[in-house]
Amino acid sequence: MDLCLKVLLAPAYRSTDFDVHKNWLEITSSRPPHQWYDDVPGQSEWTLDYPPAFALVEAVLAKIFALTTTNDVLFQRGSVIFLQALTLRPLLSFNAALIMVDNIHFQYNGFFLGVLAFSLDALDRGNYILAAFWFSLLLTLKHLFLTLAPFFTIHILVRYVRGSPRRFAKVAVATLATVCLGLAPTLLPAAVEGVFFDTLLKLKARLFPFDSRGLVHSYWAPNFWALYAFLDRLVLRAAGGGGGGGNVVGSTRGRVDAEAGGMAALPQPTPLVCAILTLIAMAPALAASRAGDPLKAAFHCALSAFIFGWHVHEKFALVALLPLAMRIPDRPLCRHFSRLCAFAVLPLMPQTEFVTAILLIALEEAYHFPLLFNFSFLERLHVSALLALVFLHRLAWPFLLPAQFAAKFEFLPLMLISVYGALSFAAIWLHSCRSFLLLQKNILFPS
Amino acid sequence: MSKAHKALASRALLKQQGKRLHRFDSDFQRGGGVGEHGTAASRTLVRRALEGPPLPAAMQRFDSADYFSCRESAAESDENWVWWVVVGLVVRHGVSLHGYSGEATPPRFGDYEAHRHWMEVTINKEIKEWYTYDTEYWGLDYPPVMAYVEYALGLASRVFDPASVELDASRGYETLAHRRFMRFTVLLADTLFVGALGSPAALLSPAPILVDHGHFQYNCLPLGLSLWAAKLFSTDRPLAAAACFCLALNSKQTALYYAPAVFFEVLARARSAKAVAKVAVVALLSFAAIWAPLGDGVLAALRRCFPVERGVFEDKVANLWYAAQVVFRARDDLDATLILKLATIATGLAAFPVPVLRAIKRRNDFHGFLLSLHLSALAFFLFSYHVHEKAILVPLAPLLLLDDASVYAWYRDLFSLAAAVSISPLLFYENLALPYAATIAFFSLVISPRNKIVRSLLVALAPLHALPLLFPPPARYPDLYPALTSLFFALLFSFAFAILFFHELHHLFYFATPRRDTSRHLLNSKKKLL
Repeated sequence: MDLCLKVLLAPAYRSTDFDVHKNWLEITSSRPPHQWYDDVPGQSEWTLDYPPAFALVEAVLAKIFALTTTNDVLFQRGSVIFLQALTLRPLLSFNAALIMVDNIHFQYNGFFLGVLAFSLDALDRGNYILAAFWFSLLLTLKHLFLTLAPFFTIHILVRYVRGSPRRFAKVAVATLATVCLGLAPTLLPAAVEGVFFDTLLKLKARLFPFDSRGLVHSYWAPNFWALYAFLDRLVLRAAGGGGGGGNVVGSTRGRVDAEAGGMAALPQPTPLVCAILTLIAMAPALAASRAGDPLKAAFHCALSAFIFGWHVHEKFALVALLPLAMRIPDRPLCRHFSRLCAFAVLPLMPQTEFVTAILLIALEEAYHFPLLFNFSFLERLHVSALLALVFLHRLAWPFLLPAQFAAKFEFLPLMLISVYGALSFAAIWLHSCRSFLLLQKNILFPS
Repeated sequence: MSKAHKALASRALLKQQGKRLHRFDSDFQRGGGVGEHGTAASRTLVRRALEGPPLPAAMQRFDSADYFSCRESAAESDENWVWWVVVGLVVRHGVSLHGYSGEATPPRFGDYEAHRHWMEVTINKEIKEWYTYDTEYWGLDYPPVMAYVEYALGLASRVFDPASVELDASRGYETLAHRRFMRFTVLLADTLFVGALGSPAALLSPAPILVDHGHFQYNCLPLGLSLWAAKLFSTDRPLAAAACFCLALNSKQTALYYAPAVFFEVLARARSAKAVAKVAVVALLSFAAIWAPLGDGVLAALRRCFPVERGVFEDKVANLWYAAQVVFRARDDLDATLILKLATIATGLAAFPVPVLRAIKRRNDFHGFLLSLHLSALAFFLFSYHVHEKAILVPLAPLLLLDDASVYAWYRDLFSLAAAVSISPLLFYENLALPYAATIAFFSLVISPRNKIVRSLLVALAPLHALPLLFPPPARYPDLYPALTSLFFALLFSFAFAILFFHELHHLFYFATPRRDTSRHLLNSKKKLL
């Protein structure tokens, strides 16, 4: 049923990511594999910046596309739906945030999350070699999941290896072999052509463009850095440094622009600072990896990476949602988190798809309908605040308020959405931290 | 599918059903607020939340009840009704993202442009000129209630996008934002129709969705009002029902197809002459209130609403006049006025007997009323003058009120499917093949797995639709397949009409008591009496 629904959404709005993937289909079908990551003069601005295994997937898709006669929109929409169905199917099937990002905005997150789900499931059952295999494969599909590497490493070391060199060798071989396999589509032809190191360097430059990307996206993903940037603007205001707020938060789409991430008053964090903060944030869950629930720890680590990561997209919150959806799909925590995810990706939708987005959220709420009636006062207040912010952004600003005022404070609704979302995510993160610290205390000082 | 995937799938399904629900440790559970604490009622709510929405009523239909037994429909007491309504709305919206009648085809475009044009005319012109302004370009040919609705929508459209309703300058205006606005107005109007329905199979019946949200029309308005009128009759509020039906009649002429059934329902229910007179007064007052604002434009409006000169049918319709044309060129050989007379007599003979007999026998059971509405509308569809293929929605709508426990539920589903397939040539022509397939797939998921007739037809659909691709029609008959489709469904609908017609007459003649009624309204009123 969800598949039929996703098929129906095919002609909806698609972002530039659609063109990005279309261009990748073109690159992988027209160039030999060792030149996939080359810069050629006059190339499209949408260069391939996913690892080779995903490029291979695109190459296979391009082969199939050449055989069929359907138009590109239907084909690419179909490929997203197919890859989702192949990997993720029973999980997150009516999740509004995922449908918005994948089936409307256009991306392959469902596919990656599906592979991550295989990996987490293997870890949960104690099949650590398999978990290492799936996770390494995931890394060669999308390297962004490197932020979860500490979680997997520590878990496998603490629960499986436990100081045994033989086991360590097994895991290491499985991981390295898979990573090599995943990189092979590009590097093997490159080695044959004799340009191995050259290609490797190009690959690295494409996959880790730290120098060209800012701390935050032009639309602040609702994480710690959104709060930091907000504080930065406040300090700027307080210092009277010409409150040119107009271009503080620009459009929610468009090219990534290094300017947007710049801090005006506060010190500029570096990627290293982000990495260290992320590790510290993950620490409670990592420390409890021996005794705790692995999926709960995965949730905490993904949430930490989302909150403190460098240049994080709002989509990354879905990674933290996945373990919740695997373990406790119908508990209030998962519902709240899922609702927050939908709220976070809502600004990706243009005004013309507002009704679609609202109906998708209503669909997800209707699926868990009775929960809505069981809310405490605080939860009701929270949901009302979410609704009020959406109302401000979508209806009050464009239609109800005087045009002059709305234009002057154009950035305000999006900024409020980011800040409120960030606070909510932070609250859940703190709660999770507290839970892990209590667990630690119980282990260290059993009563 | 890999082994890991299968295992993962089955585990996740089990978890969704709450059977092997692992838990975060107790501290984590308190995070949401709905934990172990709470009343018994809240615990059942949580229980239900854990199990997800119950199976659709249609799927449970045959599990515990035998075929003829009557029991309350599961959809009516459960909160899963909310789920199905939202699914219905999402599907409607999903269909509306696709193409529509006359998309980007100047100079005349299609029904979408007609409705947009009426918004433009009604807000820019005096009410007297509504029905006379440039009738060559989509002159208004709906009755006044629809015109008032267009007026209101036109005002709203002007607030959001003034360029969209500028007189004459806006012809063929189809920007993305305005398109979404127009589609949204249909969705709003459709909540009226959706709100009247009770079962998933009715909510997801493909034909009304495809015509209103794909092709673009506001059929949901007259149909929804008619259904509400029927429901008001069944709860014994004839005055409100009469007013509601007058609104329906004045929002689209096709509601006239129900008129015989509704008229005699009033008589069947009336306890005295005074009651009939009251209903008549309400009806007359409603008509007066609706038509009075038009002033002396009334005659022009009437002429526009009943276009006798536009021929006996339009395009390819699955009715008997079209069949007669194909078989022995009836339209070409006979005089138009003769056809008009023949059509009127045939329609009268087919539409009136069942309602009249119901009034004579003083039957007022709800299911019988729905069937009489259905028969009357089907008679009009098959025999009357100037019928469009989309009019098949009119006989379909009353069937959708039959609940899943009804003896006729299988007929309802069969008719839903037949109606959708009978308009498929139109849909293919308008690039709506994808939503057509998706809505049929949705529908097949919610109807009973044991409804074997509909199941087998669904299986046969794909190869039948593939035929025109495999064997292109000969150059002499480019419209061979649409014509065959219409002819086939003309026969099918006539056959269905004949069987049901004689079955109802037989039943009304020979059985002293009405069938046991499963409608929720009568059940409720019985409960109240007890």
